[in-house]
Amino acid sequence: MTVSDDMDMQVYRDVFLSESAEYIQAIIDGMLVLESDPHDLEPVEVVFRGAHSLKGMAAAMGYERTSELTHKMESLMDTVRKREQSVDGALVDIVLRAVDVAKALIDDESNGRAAIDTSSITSELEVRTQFRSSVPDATADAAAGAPSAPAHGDMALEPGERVIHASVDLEDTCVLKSVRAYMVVKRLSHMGHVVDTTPSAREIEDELFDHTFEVVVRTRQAVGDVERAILAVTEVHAARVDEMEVAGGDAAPVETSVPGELHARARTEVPKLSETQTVRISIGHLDTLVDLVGELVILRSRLETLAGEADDLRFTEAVERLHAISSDLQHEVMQTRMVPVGNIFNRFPRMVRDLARDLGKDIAFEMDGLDIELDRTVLDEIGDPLVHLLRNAVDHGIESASERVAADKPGRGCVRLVAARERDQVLISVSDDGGGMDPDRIWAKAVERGMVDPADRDGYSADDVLMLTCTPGFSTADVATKVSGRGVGLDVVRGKIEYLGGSLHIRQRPTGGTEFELSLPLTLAIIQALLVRSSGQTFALPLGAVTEVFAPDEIDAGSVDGMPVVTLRDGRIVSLHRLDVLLGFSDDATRLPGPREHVVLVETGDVARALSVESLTGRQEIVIKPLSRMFRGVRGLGGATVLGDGSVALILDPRMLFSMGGER
Amino acid sequence: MSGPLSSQYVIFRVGAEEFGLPIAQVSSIIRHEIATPVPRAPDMVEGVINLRGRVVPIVSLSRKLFGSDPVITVASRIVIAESSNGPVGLVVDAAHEVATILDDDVRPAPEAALVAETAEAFRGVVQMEGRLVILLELDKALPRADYAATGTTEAGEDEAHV
Repeated sequence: MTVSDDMDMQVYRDVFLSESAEYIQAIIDGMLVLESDPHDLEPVEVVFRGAHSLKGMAAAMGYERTSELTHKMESLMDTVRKREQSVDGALVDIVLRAVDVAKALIDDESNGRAAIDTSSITSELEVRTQFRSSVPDATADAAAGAPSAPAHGDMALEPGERVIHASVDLEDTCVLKSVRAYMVVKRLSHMGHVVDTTPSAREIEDELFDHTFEVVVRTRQAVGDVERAILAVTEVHAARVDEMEVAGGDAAPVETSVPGELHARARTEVPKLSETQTVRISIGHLDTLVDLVGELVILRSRLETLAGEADDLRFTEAVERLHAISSDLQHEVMQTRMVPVGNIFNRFPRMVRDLARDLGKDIAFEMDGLDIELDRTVLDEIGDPLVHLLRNAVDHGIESASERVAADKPGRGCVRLVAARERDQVLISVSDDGGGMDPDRIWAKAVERGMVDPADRDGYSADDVLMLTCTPGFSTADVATKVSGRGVGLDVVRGKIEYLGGSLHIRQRPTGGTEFELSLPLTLAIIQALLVRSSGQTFALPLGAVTEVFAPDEIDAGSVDGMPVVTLRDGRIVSLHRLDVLLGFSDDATRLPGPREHVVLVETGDVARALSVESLTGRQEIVIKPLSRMFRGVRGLGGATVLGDGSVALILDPRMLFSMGGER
Repeated sequence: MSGPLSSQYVIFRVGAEEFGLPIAQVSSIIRHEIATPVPRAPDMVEGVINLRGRVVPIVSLSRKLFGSDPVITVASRIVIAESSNGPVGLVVDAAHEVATILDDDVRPAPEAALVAETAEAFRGVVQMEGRLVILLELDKALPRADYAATGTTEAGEDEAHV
């Protein structure tokens, strides 16, 4: 194989990997639908098609073991499709496990390895394929043996529709003919209904054709548009497209039933794509774009400084114009980073199902708002917290079936995962209809741990008490079992959400059960920050956490037990921390602010603390750049940013900052 | 293609010693600039710099290998290398040549020259026209990513997966 062939194969491999991932997800989704309604034939077709397509694609790539495994899956689903056997829990299980293996196998083979053993799953698939749960009926044969090419005149044409015949010729050098043909068929199916192909869709997928294949499509589009759509597919050499004469014509649509198999195909052959036009772009390009826009924002603030100094009206006007354009650009680029939450939600149904099965619970899992979009960075980060909350809901939220029945509730529990947009925030809620958390028990535990003063009980609402479970130190195993495990790791979940600039709320649902609600910012790459100085170095403090700023003459500082405190305007007394001490520039934690020092009030979670800094140098929109993993061990830093003069300022993480020098 | 296996190395000087890094790991060599210090970072880290919009950590090989601060001169350079934790800048006293070194010529570092802290950072040595060049194992010459300056936060993260 030549070098250029290698590169071509690399391109095909990437296409294969991304398309196979879609088919695998389609198979999983289909099996989960089947599990809830074993008689629904549509998902059977989807799964069958998915396995069939995977088989063809894998074979084209030379991934023989993947091809063989998916062939076995296809054979099994074929028996279901022909109603030779029906769907039950065991069958769903085998196929789901097979698709897991297929996923690992694709990874294996595409990296040139051979580490996965498929023998046990293939034999399970074979055994189950031989299994006959019901006597095959007459319709099965009809469906299976349905002629692949019905007379076109059978189609009931709607007004304005025409039947177009296209003969497509692929280039001689085309390597993945089936993939190209598939793309042609897919495009046409978006323009109308693909009525027939020659050779059959199956033979096309198996590459049982030379370089030419034919498609008949029922559409409202013009012949020219169909031709253009076909020619837009790469490696299509030529296409002959013409309108077919239809017996009966528009005037007298013939009402004839479509054979079962074909009907099912027309609905399910093609995975759904969004209606809008989209292109795939590598994440790397998007990240670079965001970086470049960030640079532009930095340069802009520098130009603004210069314009202010130059005092030239034309210069100022030009810079103002630049400001407007770069703001729009920034907005548009940020939009390209928005990803539907469905991208990470789609793995949860499977996870919840498996977990519920392991725990012997009967749980309905519902999701909503899958099309709500979030910045990719935010989305990547919330996967783990959501897994944690869902596991908690299944494991500890929902009671056992017998407890539920005893409490006069339906035996089947319900866990819901819902995303919704609210202004510049996205709300994601995980709720269950279980027994709920017990505020009295949580309160007792918090008192026992010395986290709250028993006398303060009246000052806490029930929801306030639930939030105590998110306090670091609340989460230990013995507490966990008594308050149904809800304490474990919740402080970590809350920490992650707050790190992302969001917040976590826990509520008791009026109808029983618990709701965890995450409020998340739409984007986080660019934030407002307060620039502060300490020991001659500039640091950026996210403005979201700053609730008040005190000039030197406004500070009412004193000591309690030798520890510095500040009295706020409303009379509250909060602890005072020195930034230079937290950063290790100084040791004297008890020193009160000097005559020129400023104090900033920082609130994270429910805790307010005063932070004394050398000086404030302004407020600015900053671009967050990640810090090298080398600095993972340094608490209190949330990243870095580049200032207008090109120098680097470190971003302080308000949540971790105060534990930098050890807890106090 | 046949013949003895060889690789190209960027050769640089730190103190009195010469070191080599595979050219594939080096993305650029820039003039020395003052880094923004990172509080509570490991000793050998000088800080971070803005490298064409990326924030890159700067590590002093002199502090790591000899325990002394480098003397900055006009010849001082920062070698930007790709570590497994992303780009990192190495402060060196001079970076002056690219040399082709045969794999067969690389020998283990003499035991006498090694102390425990630096031993794993040396991949081997090679004789070049009478000079001894130490080949660096980049990742081992850098601070570990999992060190903790003020106690670790990782314990809590494990619980999240319970």
